[in-house]
Amino acid sequence: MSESKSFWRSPRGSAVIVAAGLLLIGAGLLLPSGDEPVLTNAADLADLQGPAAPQLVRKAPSESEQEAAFVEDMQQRFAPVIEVKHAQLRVIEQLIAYLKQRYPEDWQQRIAGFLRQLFPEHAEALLAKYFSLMSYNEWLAIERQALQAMSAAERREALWGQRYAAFGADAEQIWAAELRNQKISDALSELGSQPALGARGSAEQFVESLREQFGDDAEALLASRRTELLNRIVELETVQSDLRRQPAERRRQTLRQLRQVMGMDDAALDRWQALDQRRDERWQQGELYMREREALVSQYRGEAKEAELAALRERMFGENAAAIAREEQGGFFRYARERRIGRE
Amino acid sequence: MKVFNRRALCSALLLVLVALPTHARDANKTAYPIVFAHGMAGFDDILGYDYWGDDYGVFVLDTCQWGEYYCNHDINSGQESFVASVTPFASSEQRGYELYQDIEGYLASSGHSYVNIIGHSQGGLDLRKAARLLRENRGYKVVKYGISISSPHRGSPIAQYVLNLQPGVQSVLETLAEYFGNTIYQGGNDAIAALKQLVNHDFDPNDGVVTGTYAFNQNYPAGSENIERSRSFLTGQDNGNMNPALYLLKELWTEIDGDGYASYDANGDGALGTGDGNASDHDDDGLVGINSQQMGYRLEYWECYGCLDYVWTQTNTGYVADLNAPNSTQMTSHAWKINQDHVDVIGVPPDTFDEMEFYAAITDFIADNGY
Repeated sequence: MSESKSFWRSPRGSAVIVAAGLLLIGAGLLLPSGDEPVLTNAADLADLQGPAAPQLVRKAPSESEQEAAFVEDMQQRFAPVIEVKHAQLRVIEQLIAYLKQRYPEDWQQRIAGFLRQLFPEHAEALLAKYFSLMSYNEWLAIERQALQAMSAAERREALWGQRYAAFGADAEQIWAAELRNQKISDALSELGSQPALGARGSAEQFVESLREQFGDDAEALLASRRTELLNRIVELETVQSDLRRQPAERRRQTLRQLRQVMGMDDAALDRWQALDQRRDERWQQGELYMREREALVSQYRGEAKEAELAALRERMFGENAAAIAREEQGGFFRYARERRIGRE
Repeated sequence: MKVFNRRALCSALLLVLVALPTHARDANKTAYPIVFAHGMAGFDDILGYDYWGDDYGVFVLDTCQWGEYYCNHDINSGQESFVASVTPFASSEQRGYELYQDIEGYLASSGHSYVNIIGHSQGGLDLRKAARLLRENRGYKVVKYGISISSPHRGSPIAQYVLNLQPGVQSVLETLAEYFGNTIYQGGNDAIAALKQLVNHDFDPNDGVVTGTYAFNQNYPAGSENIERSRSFLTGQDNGNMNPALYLLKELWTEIDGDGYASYDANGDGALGTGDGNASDHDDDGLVGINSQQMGYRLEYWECYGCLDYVWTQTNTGYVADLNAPNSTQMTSHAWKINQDHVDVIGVPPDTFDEMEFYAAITDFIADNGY
């Protein structure tokens, strides 16, 4: 628990919470209407008490007090990072949201004044960013349909062209996270064009590429999104082709190695291996089912067909037969499509 | 129905917060990881923007390492999350199955036994199927909080409108491609199945399969059988503030009147219920009417200046356990609706919605309630 958050766990914070609950209850806000919930589990009721609220209610704050609170909050949050261009855009967006709500008639006229009040030393730079953002958003709105019709690469080029036009070199700081994501995406695309790498080789090259691109930050990046990145590698057609060529036992070993390259520990590797085993067994059964199902469909009609299919599902899937039947009724046949090895 | 006096509550809370010597900002860490289930179309990319990110590509639950800036400073640095990816255009039978498989993989990676799921749009339907499959295959209830955001649990008029476009399938695909990009043509996608999923009734009784939200809701209910706590956020906004993409789409296609009560699709627009005769009273978010969005209890989102934003469970519209039979209040009340459009709550610009704080507040809510 963070220190600042720990206030709410302190005696004073608890008192505030209790008082707030009383305040809300007093206002009749937490009382359910006549629509009593239909619940089968008491656990579902446990979050209905309402969260924190105040004890020190002496008088309603004036509008100037509310405004002061907004200004103080913005300064506390953003002062340490106000040099960061992305943070400057967040300041502007939050100011716009606040002013639109509070002064819907003339919020635009108040932007400059508020920026000077919030961050006097950066006010002019922030105001310039505000106009750039307005211009960029206007362009987005006008070009929306044209952008949608473009390929991803064309769209990226058009977006970046406009970002540079609106924000200059600052665009790279503002969209730094998107640039980082793009590098990862590009590395994955690059892998997809190298079938000779195979499954394990693809993972090794990807990790190497991450290290080249992000240096010391690569490990943290990998750790934070390990399963998502693993999934993206596994689903590459080049990797799938390699895995499909391998017999089941060797394939499970390849997947284990691939995950090891991605940094998984032995416990995780063992859990995955057990999951792979279960999935292999299900798919073996599923593919057999689809073959037998096809034969029944060509052999029977009407109610007889439905009865035969139900019996087949029961025999093949046991307690999961109902789940398969529901899917088929909705038009989805999980074992009829090509298997995404390592994903299902 | 009781009307929430937001101004009074805000004033009261603000007074106290002004008086506090320190401001609470960081969300607590959840006991179980949060899984994100995306809506129709994008996984990590909608028109070039990250789905679960702010408008500049920063993932909403990206934890901060020492000295790092491009991350969410409002969450605990140990917060765990997983971003699932399923077929962009497919039925929720398929997508829910894929979500289930993705979660199984994540549980293998992480060693966890439980998850919370946040689903946006169709992701809110998908999570119900995933929750059922997880329970049936693992033998216990895996999903603690199942939270839907802007989900068409009872159908979307836009889906039926597109399906009815003439002269048929090709024009449907071309129209979707125009709005969502060429993802629609990539292998594995089935745009027609995706759209049929989001119509309330069985769109084509003669196609040999039973589709639509009504049948799906019967098979994959809300309530505590598969999900410990079912909750939902509702979104709705007037046209003037709507994302240009949605505004354009809505104006060109069909105007949704989404806050009338009926126990069936009384106005034949493809969503359960009807309208109230006024289509421009913030009763939809550009794609989904508010009468389609409640699952379980509603959640309130309150933006706080001086503290982390808050999320509450609110009970005064009651609990929707049977998604096919909400009562009049649940279909017509605007209470706790977030005044944003369908894509403001994800990383599609331009908007001024603070995605970082919104998801931090949800994280804090889940953590503070034990999961």
